[in-house]
Amino acid sequence: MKTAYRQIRSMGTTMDLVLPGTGDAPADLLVKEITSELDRIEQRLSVYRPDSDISVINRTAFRHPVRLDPEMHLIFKELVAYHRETRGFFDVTLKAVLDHYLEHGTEAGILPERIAGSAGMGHLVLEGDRIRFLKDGMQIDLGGYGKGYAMRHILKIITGRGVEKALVSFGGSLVCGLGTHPYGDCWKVSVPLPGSTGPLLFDLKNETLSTSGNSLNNQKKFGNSGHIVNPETLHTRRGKGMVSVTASDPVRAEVFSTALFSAGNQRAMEIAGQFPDLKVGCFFM
Amino acid sequence: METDRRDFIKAFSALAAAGIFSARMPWLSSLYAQEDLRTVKLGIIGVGSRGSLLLTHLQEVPGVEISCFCDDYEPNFERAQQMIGMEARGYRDYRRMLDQEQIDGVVIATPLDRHARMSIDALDAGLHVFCEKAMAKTYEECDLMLQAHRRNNRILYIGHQRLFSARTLKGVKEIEKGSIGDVTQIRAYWHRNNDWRRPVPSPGLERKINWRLYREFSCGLMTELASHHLQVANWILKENPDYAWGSGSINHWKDGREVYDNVNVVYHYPSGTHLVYDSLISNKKYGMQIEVQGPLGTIELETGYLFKEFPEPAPGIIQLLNSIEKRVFDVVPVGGPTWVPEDPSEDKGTYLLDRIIKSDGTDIQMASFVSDVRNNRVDPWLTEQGYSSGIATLMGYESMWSNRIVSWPGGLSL
Repeated sequence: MKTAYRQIRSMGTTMDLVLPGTGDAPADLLVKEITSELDRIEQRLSVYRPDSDISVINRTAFRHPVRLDPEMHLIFKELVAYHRETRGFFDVTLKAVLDHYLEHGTEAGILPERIAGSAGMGHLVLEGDRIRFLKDGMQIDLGGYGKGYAMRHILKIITGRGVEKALVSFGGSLVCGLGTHPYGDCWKVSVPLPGSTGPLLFDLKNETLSTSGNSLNNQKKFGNSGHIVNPETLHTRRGKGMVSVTASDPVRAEVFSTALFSAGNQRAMEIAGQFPDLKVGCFFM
Repeated sequence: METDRRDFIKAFSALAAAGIFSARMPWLSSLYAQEDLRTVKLGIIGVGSRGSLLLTHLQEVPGVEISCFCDDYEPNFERAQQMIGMEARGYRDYRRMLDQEQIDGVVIATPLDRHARMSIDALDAGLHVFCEKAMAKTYEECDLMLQAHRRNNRILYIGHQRLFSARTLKGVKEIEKGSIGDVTQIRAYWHRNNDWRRPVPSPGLERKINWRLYREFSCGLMTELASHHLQVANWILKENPDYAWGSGSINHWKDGREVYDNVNVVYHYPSGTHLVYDSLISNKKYGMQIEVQGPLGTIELETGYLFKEFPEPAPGIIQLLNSIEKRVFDVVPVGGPTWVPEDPSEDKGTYLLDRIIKSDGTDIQMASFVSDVRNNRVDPWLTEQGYSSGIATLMGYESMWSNRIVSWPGGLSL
């Protein structure tokens, strides 16, 4: 079977598109549309673009409320809803804390009050279509949400073009199995675990698998301190570990994989148990 | 060195058998073809530091007799006599050598200001010539050399050894294959940290020994270093620059030298591509490199690495693609917290060759020159490479000193 394979570089990582039964010309059209949409989303949500909507909010929302357009308003409502649903372990207000750890290390002693005080979804207020920060220094980062949001939109583009089977991998940490493998009844995906432990196995059929944790690449950048901050303790989760979650909505998968990793093994299973729509695999050392 | 050349020839034979080289490199056939080793008799003019290195390489090429040599600096003369042996005749005036010797060709490794006169005299005497780079000190001299090569139908090599370097050749082939897409920019630089001086036994010998520092004899970093990278850039782009603009200064080695200790030139090519070049001798952190850039990747020619803009698919994806092709329903090992490096600077690149080859091409170049002389094989393309580089080098030099944009000169043979 003719299978189109395309690669798109976006959001600091590589997206692999495997499209069984799709020809080169339609695949190229898809790439064009997806690239444009990814760029649009990055321009809205990326903290690495100084003129993105999020960056403007970060600079302004403490000084005065910022009006949100319908899309951004829906995004923030979803962020607040997921914060509640994950018992507070999904929290997009921890950027200042992580930036402090990146600069000073996690062994530098107690977090300065100004930094610690700036974090917490309780200090982010939605009043109608306006957003306001109650704490000076609060910074939002949509890592743990942004790729899922992008994947949601990409899947709309792909299905809108009549594609029924696809595997879309966003850097491996977000993998969507649309339809089924051309010779099977699902997409079988595995996630390797450290050491000699066998991999986690997932069957995806119109589902997305998200994996969050401390990978080798993140360890190079962040050291053993990790890069996912626990909102309760404001410490990072250290050491090797990962959580994989599948859900029919890529945003949901990514949000929960991030939140459950942050929560740690025991709390993760407690929270996950409340949501039968999720399949969860955890590995903590 | 012999091992390096054997390794190189083996590697090249394999590459040639695989059709790696383009048809524009016929001179390489001399390296692995079976040849009847008729002795080639050569003379060498200028046996200073570069000349003695070329001599060492020549002495390792089978079927070469260094019949004579010429140097007007006594220590060089004595060293040459020792290296070659008493059977070689030594001269202090190259014209006498050309008059009196029955040789096939000469190797010229003298200061830049003498290249033209010596090469033209040798070509007009019916000899084949290898002349060190850069071709000559003025546009006119470059042109006269080219005309002498043509009217006498004699070999004229200019000492750009990257034409014979395995890394450069493979890199150029990758570029021609489209591995990096169209070339959209070339950046080249050569950085050292030394005063570029040689010890002088007496003050009266300062200009003779340190000729590179004086404008009467030299065009400084442009002819001595930049000419190499200009040759490679012109080769890759298959065109000559149409204009150049540059600036230089002496900002560190303020010791009475006349040539700049840092040079910075931008060359524009008719296709719209630029070569951005700089050289300085007061910092060596970045060393030497030619970065050939395109939308699909970058090739670093001096070190022989290819860097793709988009990394190869993760092994799991490759496995999936293979399994679909084989109609196999298999597990895809693709999940994990961040598979590919997100920081492009972590990409270490792909080494272009299948083994480490230390040779910079000089040894192969000398072997090729000998073989071409033996077979009377004149390659105008090779000479034109030296010519194009020579002219382009002088454009950059003129631009810096005149403080204006300089176009490819009119009225030239090319």
